[in-house]
Amino acid sequence: MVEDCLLKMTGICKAFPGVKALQDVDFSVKYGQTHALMGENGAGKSTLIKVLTGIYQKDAGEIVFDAESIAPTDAAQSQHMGISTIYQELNLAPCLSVAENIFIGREPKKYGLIDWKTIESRARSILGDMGVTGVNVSRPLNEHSVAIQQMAAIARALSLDAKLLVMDEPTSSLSETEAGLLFDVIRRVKARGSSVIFISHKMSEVFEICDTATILRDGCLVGEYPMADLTKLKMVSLMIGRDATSVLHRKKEVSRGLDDRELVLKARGLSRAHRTKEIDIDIAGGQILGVAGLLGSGRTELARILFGDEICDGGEIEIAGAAAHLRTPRDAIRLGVGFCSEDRKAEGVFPHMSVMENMTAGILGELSAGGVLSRKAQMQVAQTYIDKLGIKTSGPDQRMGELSGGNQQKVLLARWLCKKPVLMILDEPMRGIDLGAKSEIEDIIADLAGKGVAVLMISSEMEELIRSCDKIVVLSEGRKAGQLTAREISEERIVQMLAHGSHPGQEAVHAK
Amino acid sequence: MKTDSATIKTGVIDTVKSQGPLVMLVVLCVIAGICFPAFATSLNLVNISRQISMFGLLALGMAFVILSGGIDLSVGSIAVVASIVALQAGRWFAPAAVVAPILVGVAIGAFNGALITWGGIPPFIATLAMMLGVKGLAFVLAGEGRSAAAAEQVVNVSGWFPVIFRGDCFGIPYPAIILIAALGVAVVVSKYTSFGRSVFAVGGSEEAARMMGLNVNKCKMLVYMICGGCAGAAGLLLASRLKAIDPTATGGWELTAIAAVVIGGIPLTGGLGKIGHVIYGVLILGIIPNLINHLRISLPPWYNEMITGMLLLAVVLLQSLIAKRGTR
Repeated sequence: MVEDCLLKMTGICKAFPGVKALQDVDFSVKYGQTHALMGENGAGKSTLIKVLTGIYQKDAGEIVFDAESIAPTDAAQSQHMGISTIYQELNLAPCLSVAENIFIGREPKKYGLIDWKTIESRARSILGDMGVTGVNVSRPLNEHSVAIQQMAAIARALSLDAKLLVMDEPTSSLSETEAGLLFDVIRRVKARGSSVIFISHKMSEVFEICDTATILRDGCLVGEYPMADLTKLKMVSLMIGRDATSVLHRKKEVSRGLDDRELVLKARGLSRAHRTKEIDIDIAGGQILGVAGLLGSGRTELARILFGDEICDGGEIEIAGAAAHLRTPRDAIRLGVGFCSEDRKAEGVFPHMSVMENMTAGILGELSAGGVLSRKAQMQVAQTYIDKLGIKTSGPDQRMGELSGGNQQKVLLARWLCKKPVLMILDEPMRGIDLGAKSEIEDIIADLAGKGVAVLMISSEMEELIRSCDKIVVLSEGRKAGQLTAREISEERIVQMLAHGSHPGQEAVHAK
Repeated sequence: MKTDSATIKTGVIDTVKSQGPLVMLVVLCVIAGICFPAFATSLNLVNISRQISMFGLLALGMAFVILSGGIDLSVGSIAVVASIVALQAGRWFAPAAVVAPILVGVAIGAFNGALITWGGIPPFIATLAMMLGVKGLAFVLAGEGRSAAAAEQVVNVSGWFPVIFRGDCFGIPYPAIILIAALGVAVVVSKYTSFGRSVFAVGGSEEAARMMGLNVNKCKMLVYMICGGCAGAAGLLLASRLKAIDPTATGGWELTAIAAVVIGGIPLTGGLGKIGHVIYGVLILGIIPNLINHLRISLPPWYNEMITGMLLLAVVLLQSLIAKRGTR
């Protein structure tokens, strides 16, 4: 039976100071299998992968790959053995061409010099084999969409004759169409006989693409299950170790009759370059407005316009009844707007500063007396929100970087909550956050709306929008493709609008 | 359908973006030609080419370092130590005067590289320390206990040694030939070798390069060794020119070299740019003092650095404005 396993990891243990990250974990992947590795954040998925790829050294256990016992000591070595990893954050050289990224480090040579013609034609043929065409392989990588960049990463792995592809959250920044393209590629990879380890927080994707799932919890193996034996609910229950019914089926009071309340945000005809075109948005106090749209639909641009980070070419914004001329985020903040970026790491967190400092960064003026910052007041605010939001931390002094994604997000939310905003803009607030924390953040958002704050929430996860929002605006190619009230919200309707709007031949529906 | 004008517009921006340094060089030459008729004479051009050869070599090596995302502040000190080594070694064994300075440069560069890779010291700090240390070494080698002013001493050299700097071939000075050859090699290495490409990858994202299985440490070591070697070669030219030991001869050269690289269109963040364009930066910085020199009645020489600084600002400002435009 061992022969049909490409990878067999047995009894893997790995401890970090104070934490047992992996305890006696077994994990095996068969030839030509797409195997999901599931678990909440901190369950040990990444650690297991890092042990496999040689970034971490295991404390105990054995790794057998392609019938040979291996112990890689760095990424290059495991790559050489046929294990390629496509990371969450793309690990390619952004300024080099697509073709080069595929071949760098082992460029085909002619007379000892790099043969650019061959590189480019081979890159095209590899991408072609994957079903990806129409890519200008000689242009720098960063001029292409994230999806194409991802394809380049996979092409690189395939050209390295990878027997095992590890994909860590490959779809986290892809639109659904792009994810579909990725799945086609994965199916082709599988058909070639390579195996795939697929890590994703998106349950529906796992069910769509994987044959088998191994579930980890708290560094221990829960079990390996054929996909056919699992349901979403069962999988979630196994991952969080308790009955998940309550998590996935949150009841929302449908239609709270909020439309007659006073508008906190009234935006008319927002336009900016080619990204957003004549978008109208209304949000009443206490209302949660969802913005659905694919990548490039203008959803993030919309959020940034409302936060003053991008300046609109045309249109008017009214916040709390007064005309707002937003030219910088400071203008927006002064009017009571808060904003959580989709990119927590780059635009939110100060990783080396404490939880307390992260939380109070926006209200240092209020916490100071005569220009002197009161540490006591800072502590008080931090402790209040740590308790209120249930932030899991050893204390206000813990370094932010040590917190899990979900808890970091809570701290960032607290940063705005303590400024008492009237309008809160949340761009992908639940990206890369595990399920338990997700539902807690949903609660925080609902609570915020309950206090009369207007919330604008962007998400590429339809389920999140459907669960949380009172009203959903669908954007497509920079235009408002439609709007759904609480009663009308359903996945089908949203998809319909997304699809409808994405055909330029048809006139976009302006629901008003 | 995108409009044609938009395509043309991006085309123009692309051209300015990629050929900006050349455009600036041409503009500067035209100004120089108008203000100063003798500018385009072969005598003047030959002089300029001799003057730029040394810091041109420094800039080429520096370009590799900056492309890889690093910085090397020690090149001026390396050059001066190399020049002293050339003169001292030449006293023992004549051909050593050519080989030794370059080897010394490579060795110091390797030490820089080791500090940065294995030592994990940020390049700025490591090479700053080396800049001071190596400069000190230059004074020690020049002769114990000498003050800066008294340290200059003429050395007896073989008759062929000054020719390296003074000589020419069909009117083209040897230093210019050396620089052009080095430029050619640098362009080929950067574009057509695995090492050259890995420099760009490391400069773009070190983490990504590591994850792609590239040998990042080896790449960085090589980059600093090349930079050191180039500085050593510049030191050789310096020795050949001075025929004397002067530990203070290269003060500020490292900054001029960095300026030339940046004016040539390679941002200090690395990973982006063309080594070949560094020569434009070198020429621009070479022509400015020449121009000021010829206009000395109306413009005293101390305007030199001011104009260089303003020019550097203009270039960087232009780059950042274009980059801003590009993202819109």
